[in-house]
Amino acid sequence: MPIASSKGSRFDDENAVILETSTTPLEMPGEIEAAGSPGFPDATHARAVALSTVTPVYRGAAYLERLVDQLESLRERLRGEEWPVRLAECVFVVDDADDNSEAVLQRIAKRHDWVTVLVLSRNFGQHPATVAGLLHTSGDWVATLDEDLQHEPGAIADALVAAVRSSSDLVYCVPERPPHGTLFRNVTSRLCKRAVALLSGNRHVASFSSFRLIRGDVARAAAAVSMRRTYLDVALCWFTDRIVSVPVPAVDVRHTETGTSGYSTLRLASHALRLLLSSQLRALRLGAAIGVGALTASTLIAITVLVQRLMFPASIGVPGWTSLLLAILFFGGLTALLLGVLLEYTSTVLMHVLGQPTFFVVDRSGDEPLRQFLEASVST
Amino acid sequence: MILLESKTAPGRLATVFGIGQIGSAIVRAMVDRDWQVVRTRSFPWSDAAGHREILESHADEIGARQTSGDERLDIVWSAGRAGFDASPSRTAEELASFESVLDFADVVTASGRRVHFHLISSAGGLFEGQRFVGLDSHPRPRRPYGRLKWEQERLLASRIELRSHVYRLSSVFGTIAGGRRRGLVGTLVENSLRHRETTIVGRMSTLRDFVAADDAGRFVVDNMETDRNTTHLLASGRPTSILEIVRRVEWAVRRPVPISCVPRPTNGVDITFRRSALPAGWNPRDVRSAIPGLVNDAIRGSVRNPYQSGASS
Repeated sequence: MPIASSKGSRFDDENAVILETSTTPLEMPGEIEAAGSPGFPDATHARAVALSTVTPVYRGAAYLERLVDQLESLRERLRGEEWPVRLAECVFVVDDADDNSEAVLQRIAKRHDWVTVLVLSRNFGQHPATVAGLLHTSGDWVATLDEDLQHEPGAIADALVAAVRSSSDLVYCVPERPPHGTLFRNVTSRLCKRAVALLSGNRHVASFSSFRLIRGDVARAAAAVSMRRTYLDVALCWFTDRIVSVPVPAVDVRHTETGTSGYSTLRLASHALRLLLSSQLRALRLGAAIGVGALTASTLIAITVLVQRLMFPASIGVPGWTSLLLAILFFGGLTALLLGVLLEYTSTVLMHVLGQPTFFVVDRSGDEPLRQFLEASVST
Repeated sequence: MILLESKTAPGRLATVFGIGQIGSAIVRAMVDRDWQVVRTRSFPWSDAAGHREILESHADEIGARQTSGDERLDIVWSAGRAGFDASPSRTAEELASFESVLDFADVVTASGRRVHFHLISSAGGLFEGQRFVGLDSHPRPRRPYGRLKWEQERLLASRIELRSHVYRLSSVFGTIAGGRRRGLVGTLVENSLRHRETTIVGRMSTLRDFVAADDAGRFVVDNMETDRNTTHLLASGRPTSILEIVRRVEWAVRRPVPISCVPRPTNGVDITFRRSALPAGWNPRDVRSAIPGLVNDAIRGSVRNPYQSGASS
């Protein structure tokens, strides 16, 4: 579809790129079918909301068939209950799986044209794999969920309801109780998130979860700016502050069946580091303030000591002490100030490199059909 | 229009109408596969009345070169003057030219030759406003441009003596020297290198499906070995937002890309395609990984001879 203007087009400016489309379809000869794409009629009809899912896969061969069955059940439920929402696609991203997940998924994809399989060239990690999946979606809403049945697809409908009712862009499906793991891991995970929340001032950190429902435009925008070390949820927070959580049941099927977890302690530590590096820490921004404070204090103390030395020389018994103290105080304060300024610049550049946007425009008008459906469901 | 002859199968000829971004990519791919350019001739839009004379002369030349009379001629229609926002009168003009070429194909067929007609159609024009376009989706054009493409496909299908090959291309990217329509990616790359602002009329989150002109060209040429009628959707199955393209160009040119957005009440609707609808053997490049190469080409101005291999798009 040509979308660049050329000479003679309505926009004579050769730099204009036209993306707009008309809204009035032409009357076509009888050869043209009346319906558009099944399940997704064009804008002249009521436009169904499209839902996509993204699942990064590393070691999921034992669970994928069941997961797809659950997704298909969700698909049928949305259709059967006449929601104005269709589960249009499910994207699975094979992140150099160490079992035969890829073969399983390719078999599944042959049966269902709504299943897309992406195979990464090497193991990149859960967040990069999720980013890759998000960039392959077209849905108005995108749900991310794990491969191992820990996240029940049926809960996506609840998240959708919460999103539309609160006009939110991001819903975290938080387990009603923590998934099975050691006490040490659960506690350290919680403490880490709380520490980052405190240091960064981001109150949503405690809710971060890999089971999310994200407005499609926001998801793809955050994915578009995410880099290798970006923590996806931090990137999502750059684009929206309308974030809510819904409690969902969570069962660690992998642990129940195998006694193992999908993530080792090392991987979790890697996640924590990525979270820390992606967050703009308030402490860094305080660096300049700390530096100014230190220089001011050191100047005042230096003046005091100098006056004391000049006015009351006998009160300072050690020769050279005054000079030494003045030098330490001055250069220490100056160093603190310069370091603070440097930290401020570094923080700003880091956030720019990580892709933090200046602004982002969102359109929430597409929620209306679902909102009306929910209101009608309540009233009946 | 360009007349080419196969070096490995003398007497096998091909005529390409339209040497824009896609037409030149097709010619490059043919040259890579041991075809040679025999003649280049003007086929001006502005001289519709002269088309008949040009085509008659062309038919004579084909007759002179194909002496046994049962050789194959491939005709490629990759011409397009009407843009996506073309008026009905402009599309009518283009349709008339297309019909004249179809008539020419009939004349060649009547002489006993086997004619394969390759039509470069438009997935965006046919499926505008649709998402998750699959094998069971139906074209539903919404503007004159889409209707033009639908009508071209219908006319071709009605010429039952011709073998027809239809290629429904999604948004094409690639730079070309002298090309008038550069597409979003080409426009952004060139403007950013020249510190010029690009005006985008639509939403930054609008989704499009991009394929490289060269990939499409190679597929068309590979498909020239097919004998049966074919219709192919040449998309990538990978939706890309305008924001993502802008971001990638910024990274590649290493500077901010000045853009201005003109939001419209209609907004830019998304057009996306399912991977399951794509043809076997079609492996298009990812536009994200292609952008640095486009930037390098634009910097070097490397497309000197668009018909030589190595001149990328």
